[in-house]
Amino acid sequence: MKSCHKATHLISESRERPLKGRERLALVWHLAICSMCRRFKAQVRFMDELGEYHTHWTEHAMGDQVLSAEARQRIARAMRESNN
Amino acid sequence: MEEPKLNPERWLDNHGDDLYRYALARVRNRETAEELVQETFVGALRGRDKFAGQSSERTWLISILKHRIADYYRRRWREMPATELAADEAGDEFVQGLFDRGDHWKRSPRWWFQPRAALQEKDFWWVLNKCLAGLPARIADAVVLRLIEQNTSEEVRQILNVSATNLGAMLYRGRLRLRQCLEVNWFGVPRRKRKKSE
Repeated sequence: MKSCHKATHLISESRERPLKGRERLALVWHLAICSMCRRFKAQVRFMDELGEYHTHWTEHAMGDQVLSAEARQRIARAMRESNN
Repeated sequence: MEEPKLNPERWLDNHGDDLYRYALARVRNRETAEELVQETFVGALRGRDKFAGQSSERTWLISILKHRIADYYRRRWREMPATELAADEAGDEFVQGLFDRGDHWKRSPRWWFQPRAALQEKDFWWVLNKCLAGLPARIADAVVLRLIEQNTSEEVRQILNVSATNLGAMLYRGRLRLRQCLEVNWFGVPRRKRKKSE
């Protein structure tokens, strides 16, 4: 298979479902000769793993985001009402 | 060893902002994130007898929030018109623009130097957040649920109520776009020129 477009689609699909025999062969063949798609495949794998660090992510990247005073009041009130 | 106990009076102070940030990163809307935090605390209050002390208070609250986030997505997507879903599968100018007539990459993906090292940098996560915020809305939902929340493919299909083909199309487009954005704004940029979070 010569198409990088198709190969990149199969690479993405392979993260969602097992590839069919024919698809897998075509992709293996393409990756054997195409370093650009090999690179893409590694980058897709890296992006798929980002979620593992999600706690790290929210704490470090969004440290300046906080609940507004109004939101805090609303939430406190809702909690009080729910307790009754 | 003492089992962790719940301390609802301290939830807002101890966990409010953390939960808010967690929600905000995933739903990308302040009001929605606030509502989700409220739903989480109220729901946790009502269900506090179910806390078995197997995890910390915060882990337990986050797990409730995760369910609320999934429910939020379910509600949002329940009203999704079929025409919009069909458009997702039809093709994408952005994607088509990446490949030439022979279906090869117009521009080669660049070599990313030590990508895992980026995970330790606050500014990388800020860039990632910006990239996610720049995705078309439906694609962003799919990418957040699958890549960030790390739901399985089947779980995401169930939450969004879409077919495998449709989810596959959205994730394909999302991955190409996200890859490009990370390359343009981080991996392809010399260190000193990378944008810093404010």
